[in-house]
Amino acid sequence: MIGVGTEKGAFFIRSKGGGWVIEGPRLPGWRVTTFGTGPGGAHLLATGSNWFGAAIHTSDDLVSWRQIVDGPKWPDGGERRLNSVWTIESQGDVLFAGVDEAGLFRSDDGGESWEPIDGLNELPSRDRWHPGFGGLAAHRVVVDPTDVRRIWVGISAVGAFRTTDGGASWVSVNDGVPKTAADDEVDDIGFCVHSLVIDPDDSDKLWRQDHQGVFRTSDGGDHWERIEDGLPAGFGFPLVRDPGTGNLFVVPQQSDEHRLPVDGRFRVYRSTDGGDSWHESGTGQPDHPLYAGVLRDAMAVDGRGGVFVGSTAGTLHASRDAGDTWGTIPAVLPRILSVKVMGA
Amino acid sequence: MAEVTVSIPGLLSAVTGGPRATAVDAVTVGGALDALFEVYPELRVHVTDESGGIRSHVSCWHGDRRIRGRDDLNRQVSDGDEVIVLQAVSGG
Repeated sequence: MIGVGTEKGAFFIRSKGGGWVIEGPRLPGWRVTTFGTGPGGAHLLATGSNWFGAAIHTSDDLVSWRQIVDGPKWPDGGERRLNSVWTIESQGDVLFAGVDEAGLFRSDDGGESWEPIDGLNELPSRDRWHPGFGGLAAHRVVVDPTDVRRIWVGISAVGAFRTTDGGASWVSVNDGVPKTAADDEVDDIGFCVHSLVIDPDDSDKLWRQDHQGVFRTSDGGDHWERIEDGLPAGFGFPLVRDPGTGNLFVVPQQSDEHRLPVDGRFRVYRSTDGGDSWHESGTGQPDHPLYAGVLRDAMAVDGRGGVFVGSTAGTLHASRDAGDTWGTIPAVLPRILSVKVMGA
Repeated sequence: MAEVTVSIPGLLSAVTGGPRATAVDAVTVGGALDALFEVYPELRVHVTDESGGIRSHVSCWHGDRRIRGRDDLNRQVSDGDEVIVLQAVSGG
């Protein structure tokens, strides 16, 4: 089952008899910003609204959704506002939520209550954090599958941070990546990370789609190297990795000014060598002009070779063989913000 | 205490699974909203923000008077009054 979060609700898509069945919209009219899975397999999603704020909802059946009352929240009476929940990551019984205005929250009770991770949220540089075009958002959380105390967080337009003590202390890990929004007083911020993925078999290896291009590290983020050989452009938002083959996928866009596929050719690019080189992936990608982007949470893998991509034009594209062949799912949805494999 | 009706937009009643209009007992506009939040606690985050006031893009009315600031939440209500929560017209 694939969860698709759009500007106007959640859709759920499953394959059936070689085709696709589309259910929804659930929570129609609400912006659905991301999905997650709670301990015990409960489904989670986050809603947002320009008018009514953000919340997390839970469901056992993907049909009936209950809003969690005590979701992530900034202190009453303060200046910060919780505008969106952009990611919900789980590791064991622990859930992490990355939010706008930027911050990281943790839940140890399946998402019913949340506590801010002050070690990150109150870093001394906080007053100098500035939003990117998409807001001041903590939107990526990567947990070391072998050590829940080792976590990377991506914040736009601040940078990537790493903790090795479960969140008490954090360091900026952006060396080798150019700044996007340099600060004239604080040196270790101003980076605009868009995506982070980890190699579960070697958790010092991560890949990063940044505002400034595509990068990888082999030392947990201490140093990054640019890896764009074969890409038509370095700019883009999502980056995912198929765990079976190790294939990496990005969707290049022509510069941060244009944010469109180069020449209208909507293409998922694949690396089969860990990022050394990139190629247009497989066959069956749209042969007509498609001037749409793919947002940072809108590409997902299912661990069995499935790769799913949702565009800002509401189109959905899928590969079941790790990018060898592609097809377009016959539906046009509202602008797609998130694509996640929901299990079940 | 006065008996007043608090109305919410369909987008919010869909979240609660409850009705669009709820009768509550209250002394003030803010009290009427708090009484609504007692019944449907998930609504508080959608109507108010961390300031404790009404969200900037939510329009709240007491009869024909728009509730704009914290002071307005202290307006007295009377039997039969309506407090209406609306999605503000924001944008084109």
